[in-house]
Amino acid sequence: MEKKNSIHCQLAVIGTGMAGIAASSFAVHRGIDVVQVGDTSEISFASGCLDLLGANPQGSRNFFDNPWEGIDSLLNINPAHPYGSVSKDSIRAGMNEFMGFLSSVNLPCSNIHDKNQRVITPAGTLKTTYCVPRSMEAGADAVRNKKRILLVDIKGLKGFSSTQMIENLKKHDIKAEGATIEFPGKENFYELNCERMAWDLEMGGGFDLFASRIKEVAKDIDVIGLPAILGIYDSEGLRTRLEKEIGIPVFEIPTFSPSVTGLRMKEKFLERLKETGVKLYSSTKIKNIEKDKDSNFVFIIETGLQKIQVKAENVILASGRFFGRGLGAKNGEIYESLFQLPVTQPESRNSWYEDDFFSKKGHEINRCGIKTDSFFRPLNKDGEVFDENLYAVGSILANQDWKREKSGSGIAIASSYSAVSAVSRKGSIGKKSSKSDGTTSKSAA
Amino acid sequence: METDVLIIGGGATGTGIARDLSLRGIDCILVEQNDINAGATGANHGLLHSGARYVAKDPEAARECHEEGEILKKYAPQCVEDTGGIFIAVKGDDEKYIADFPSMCERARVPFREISVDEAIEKESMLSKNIIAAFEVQDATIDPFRLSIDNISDARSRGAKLLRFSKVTEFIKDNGKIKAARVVNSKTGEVLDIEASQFVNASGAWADIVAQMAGAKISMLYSKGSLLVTSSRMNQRVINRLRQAGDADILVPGGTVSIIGTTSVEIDNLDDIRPTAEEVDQIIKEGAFMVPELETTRYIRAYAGVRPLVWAKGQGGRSISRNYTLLGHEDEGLENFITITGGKLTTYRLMAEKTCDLIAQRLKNNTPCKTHETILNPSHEGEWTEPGRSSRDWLKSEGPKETLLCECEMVTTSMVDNIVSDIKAEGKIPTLKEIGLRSRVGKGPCQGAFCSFRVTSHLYNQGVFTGDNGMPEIRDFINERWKGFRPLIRDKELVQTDLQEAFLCGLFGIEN
Repeated sequence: MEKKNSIHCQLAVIGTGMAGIAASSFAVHRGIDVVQVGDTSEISFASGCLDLLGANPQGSRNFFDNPWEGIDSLLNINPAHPYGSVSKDSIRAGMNEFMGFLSSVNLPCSNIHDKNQRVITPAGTLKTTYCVPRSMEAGADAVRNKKRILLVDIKGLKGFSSTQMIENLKKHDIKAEGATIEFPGKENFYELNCERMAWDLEMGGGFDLFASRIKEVAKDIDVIGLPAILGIYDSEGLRTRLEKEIGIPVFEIPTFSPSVTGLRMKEKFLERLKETGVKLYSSTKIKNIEKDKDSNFVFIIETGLQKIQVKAENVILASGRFFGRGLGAKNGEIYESLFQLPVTQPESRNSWYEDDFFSKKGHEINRCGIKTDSFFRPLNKDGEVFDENLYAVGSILANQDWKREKSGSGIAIASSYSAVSAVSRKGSIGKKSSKSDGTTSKSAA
Repeated sequence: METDVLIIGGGATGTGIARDLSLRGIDCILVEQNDINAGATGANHGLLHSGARYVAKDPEAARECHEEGEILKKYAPQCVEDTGGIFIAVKGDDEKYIADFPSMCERARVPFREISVDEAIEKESMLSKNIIAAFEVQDATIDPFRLSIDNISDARSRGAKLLRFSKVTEFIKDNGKIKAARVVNSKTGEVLDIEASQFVNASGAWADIVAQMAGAKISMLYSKGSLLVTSSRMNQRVINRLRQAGDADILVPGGTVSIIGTTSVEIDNLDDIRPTAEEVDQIIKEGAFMVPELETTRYIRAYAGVRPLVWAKGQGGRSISRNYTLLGHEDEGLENFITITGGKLTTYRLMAEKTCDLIAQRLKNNTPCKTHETILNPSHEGEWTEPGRSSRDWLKSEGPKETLLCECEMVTTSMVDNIVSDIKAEGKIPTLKEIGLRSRVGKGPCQGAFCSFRVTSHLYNQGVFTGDNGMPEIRDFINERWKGFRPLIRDKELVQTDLQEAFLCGLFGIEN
């Protein structure tokens, strides 16, 4: 027989991507008790960097050295952008708090001179970002100071060619050399994958051989770049050990699909949130949400044989866009999946996308989404607040194009920070809820 | 440069003419403004018609289709999959047409067999439950890429020459006779005059444009037809709607996919031929009457071709004959210019035969046509175009001995290397687009987002790509695939597109 439990919470966070994780971490830090649910998460694809603003596709700038000036310039052209609803102080406070959260899970990241930094991608392009994980700092520094870089690729690892990176870095006036090594124990493998190698380095005995193979090819250089494969749980430990063995700074280059940098974040974030008291249900999808007579949001979580009824005073919707299934489309109309909130619409299906996939101004469909008030509360079709206690954050928001602006983490963090602040200002919040059906919640003070 | 015959156009007809001429011992050069099969030959169903489709309107064309189909099954088996076909009518379809169908087939001598609705559904489980009549016919499928590549390879092995990306810009005339064609290479800008005794205009939809340069005129109607490719194979046999020709009434299996089409939209110019969102919706709506799952299945690509229809007064669109047009242009004062256009892929060989008969007669060459009785040799270059071929080969090999660069279509490093050396052997520069044309790279569900990047990395490692040309290569390749994917984006496709853009733009910043 199935059991049915019931939980009452002050805040339900829907989504386990960057925005949902930021929201939960901020909320639990403010003594709010949180239930978090999520299905697929884009975070497995994350580069590990925290972007704030790199470009303004609607304007003429495709690179901002200073993201804060960039925000001014962006808001001049696009005042309805989510950044328009958050003060710079709040954006900064949110970024700082989230960086603290990253440090608490031993994924430290940093920023230099409050400016954008540039990290090397496997394409040999430079990705503009604001905060760089420590595992990539030496790379960002080498780009900034034009150091001599050795890029090491691995036989059998596709989509990662030092030659390609070297050739493309030349136009940024960066001099790099390349070398190919064999991965210990997998010398004759033709299908290597980054996640598997990260496991091997962390758990297996191949680390020393791996280090000595790199050391052999590292001559007359300042810094070494590797694909991001240096472990999942103790990546900083592995990397510092490697640096010690070789005697030269080592940095990682983020790969994709899925990325080890993203897996690290996902594993550690979710673990940390559980430790700090968030009732986390990942890999679950809620189908329906209603309101009860006490104005709580009510929904059912199904996990295995268990059905849990959740009653939440507030909801933060961080369900993402199409990849996260927060948005969908039917008959040429874009809809929001859970509350059927109004979504700003391009004129027709023909105008969703440009003929040129790489069109400088970006695609219209990427700017559609949920319109909110300045506290990130979604608006109904009459332009009024849909529900006093419902917030929408992250990539589901309208009037942004995070992929082109390089603003994904920034929007996720700033909007979550602002929404959680609004929730925490409410009278009943901040103290432990007395209504929480006997479940306890720890606050991470 | 000098030759007996200059052929303009590298589709099925042009390459078929090159092979036919070379078998007759006639020297020829084929010039193509783009690449092999860039026009309608590369943008149709890949259907080898049994003829049943044309029994009502054009019994003669129907009979030709049947005969040509049988010849190709026998003499070019590597290009043909003998699937068989079914015609089905659904509730609401014209009952008179259904009743007349058997006698019309008999009149055209196109073989058919009436089958019960239950038997039809047993053979093709995806068929609608609303079927009211079904007939079995001898349809088959044909790989048009392999066909043209095999034809031109065979011709080249007998001395014919091929110049791709070579566009005729003018004819140099001397007393009503064409002396030479001026040809510009679009890649290098190089200009070349090619002298010949006979000039053959086999440029398909471009026939009038080429004819005008020679001082002739052909009244043409451009009818765009769009088609959709599903992500997996839905049917074993060709499925046709039993009715007067209309939109989306043929579903053709091809290797690992199925293709549904077409539309018929009159267009004014040939510059940018793209399927539209409206056409996609129309195709899916109509196709679902035959196979309801077409409403919900995932599509990987839409594409469009232009039917070169030669126009006569009072006709339009589908009512114009699908039969071919062969013009000697003598009454326009031209004695060494021939146009062959119209027609169907199924009858390309016959069109080539008739054209070459006229050329041979003008050149006073008595050697008869041999293409109806000579095996078309399978070429090395054509073998990787076969869908599913690479995955079969990969699975047959004992464990992975090399890297899969394209995981959707299972294309390995050595396959890419082979294709690159073929392209180089032809004296051309290997580009991602060229590789895509000769393989299944980019044709799977990822739309090329991941594999184009992996192939690029591999080609850098091999020294094929150098400098910073890798990025423009990826952009060109993705945009080529995008052309066929954009109109298809309806609901589920948004998920893939989100990921593709996050990767190519969000992480790599390729847009800059």
